Amino acid sequence: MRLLQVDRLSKHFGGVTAVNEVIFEIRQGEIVGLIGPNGAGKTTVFNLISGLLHPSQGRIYFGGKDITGLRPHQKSLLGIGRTFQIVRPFDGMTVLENVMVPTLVRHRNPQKAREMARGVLRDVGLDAFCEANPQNLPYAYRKRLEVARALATEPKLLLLDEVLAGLNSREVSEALPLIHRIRERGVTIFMIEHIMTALMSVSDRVLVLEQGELIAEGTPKEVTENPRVIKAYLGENVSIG
Amino acid sequence: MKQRHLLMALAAGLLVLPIFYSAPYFLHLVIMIFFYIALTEAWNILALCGKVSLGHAAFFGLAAYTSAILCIKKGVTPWIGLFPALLVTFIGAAALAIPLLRLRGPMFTLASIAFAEVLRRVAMVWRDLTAGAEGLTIPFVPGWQNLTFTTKIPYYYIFLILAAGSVYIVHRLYYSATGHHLRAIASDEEAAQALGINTQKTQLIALFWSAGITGLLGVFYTQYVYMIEPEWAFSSALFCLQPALNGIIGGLGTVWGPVIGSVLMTPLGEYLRSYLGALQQGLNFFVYGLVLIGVVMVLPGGIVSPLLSLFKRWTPSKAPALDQGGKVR
Repeated sequence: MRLLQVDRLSKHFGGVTAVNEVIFEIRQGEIVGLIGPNGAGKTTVFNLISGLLHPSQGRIYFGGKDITGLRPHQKSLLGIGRTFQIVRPFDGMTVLENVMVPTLVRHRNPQKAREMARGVLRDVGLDAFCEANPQNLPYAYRKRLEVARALATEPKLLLLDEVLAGLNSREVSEALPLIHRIRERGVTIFMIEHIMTALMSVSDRVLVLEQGELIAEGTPKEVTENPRVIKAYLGENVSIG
Repeated sequence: MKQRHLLMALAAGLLVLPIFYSAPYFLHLVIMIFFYIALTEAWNILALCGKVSLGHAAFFGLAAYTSAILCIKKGVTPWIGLFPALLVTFIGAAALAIPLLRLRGPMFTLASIAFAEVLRRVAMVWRDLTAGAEGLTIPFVPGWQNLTFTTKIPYYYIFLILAAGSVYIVHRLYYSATGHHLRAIASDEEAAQALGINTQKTQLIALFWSAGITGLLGVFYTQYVYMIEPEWAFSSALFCLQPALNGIIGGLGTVWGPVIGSVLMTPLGEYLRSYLGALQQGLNFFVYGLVLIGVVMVLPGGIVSPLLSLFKRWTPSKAPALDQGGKVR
C-alpha cells in the first residue's frame, strides 16, 4: 500500500532550484534511504513533506489524501513525524518534558502524557535520564532524544534527518536495532543518511538525489552499482565504513 | 507536603495582616506589591512563549477607560463595566495578534511599544470621550457598588485576590499542555510545529489570557486611584516597563519569578521615588537600570533560579534528580 506519494515536487529559492520535479512513492512498512551529495536538496525534500516549506510546484499525497498545502502541525497530526539534522532539544525543559511536548498534543491530560512520554523514553533507552537537562546529555543521547520526540507524535511515517551522523561506530551499531524496532511497530521510515554501510544494512530501497533531481532509485546494491550514482556521488568520495 | 503548608501559612498571614497593622502608607505599599504581582504574572504569560511585550499598557488603558467612562458618564458599576472593558481589551489583543504571529524577537517588542503609544495619543486627542490630558475623575461614592472606599482595607483584599488568582492561573497554565507548548515555542518554534503544535493558536491563547488579566487590573486599579488620564492609563513606565523589569529580575517565564521580582522591586521603586525622585527627576530609573544590569549579569535566569534550587534541596521531590549540573557520561 502506498503511504506517501510525491508528484513532480519542485522548490525554487529565487533563481535557485533546490528540488526539481521529483517523483517517488513510499510504501507502508518500508525503510527508504535518501542519499546525495551536500546541497542535493535532501533536507529541502523533508521540509516540503513535513510542511515547513511550501512547494513551488507539485503535490504530496499521504495515505491517498492530498496534503500539499497543510501546515506542519496538521501534517504531524495526520502521522508525519520528523527529526532535525541539528538536534534542538527545548531548553529549560527536562528530557521527560521535552518528550511530553508532543504527547500532550494528543493527550491533553498531563498525567497520561507523562506516562506516554516515559514509555517512549524507555523504548529508546533514555528512561534513566528523565529528569536530566538535555544540554548535559552526550551527543548520541541527544540524537536519541530527537528520535524520541518524533516518535512521541505517534507517526505513521517517520522522517529521520541524519540521525546517525556524528555518532561513532559503536553508537551507530547501537542505533540500528532501534530503527528496526521502530519499523516492527508499523512505522514507515524515510531517512537521510551519509553513512552508506549503515544505510545499506537497514534500508529496503534507496533514492539518490543530485542537484535537486532524482537520479536513481533501487535496492542499496543496485544504487551503489549504478554508474550515474558512482559518478555523481560515490565516485568522488566513497564512504564505505 | 511541605510546600503546600508553606503556602497556606503565607495565605493565612496575608489574610489577617490588616487586622494587626493597617497604617495607610503600609497598606498602600502592600496593595502596590499585589497589583504588580498580578500585572507581572499577566505579562509573564506571553513571556512564557518567549514574546517580550512592552505594550501591555494598551490593555490596561483600554479596559480602564472603558469601565471608567461607563462609570462616570452612565453610572454603570465597575462590576458590570468590567465585561465591556474586557471586550474592548480583547479587540485590542486581536490587533496585537497580527504582529505577535508575524514578527520575531525584538520586532514584536517594537510593534508592541508602538501599539500602546498610538492608543495613548488617541486618548489624548479624543477629548469628547476622555477629556484629554485633563483626565476624568471617578465620583467618590463609598461602597462596594462603586468600588470606592474610605479605607484601604477592602482594596487590600481585592488586590490580594487578584494577585493570588494570577499566580494560580499561571501555575495551572505552566503545567498544562498549553504551558508545555508555550515553553516549547519559546525555545524553538519550528521544532514545536513539527511536533504537532498549532503554534499560532497556542500563542493567541497566551495573548488573550495575558491581555484579559491586565485589563481586569486596569478596571480595579482605576477605581482605587479615583482618576484616569492618558499619560497615566497608557504609561509605558508603569504598565509596560515595570512588569517587564519585575519579570526579568525575578525570572522570565517562571511561575514564581514575577512574585519575587514584584516583592523586591515595588518597595525599592517606592523608596527610590520618594528619596531620589526629590533630588533629581528620573534618578530612580537610573538605579533601576543598575539593578537590572546586575541581576542579568550575575543571575541570567533571574533571582528565582538559585532560590528554586535551594527550595528543592530543602523539600526533596519524589523523583531523584539524576545529573543536576554534571554530565551523565
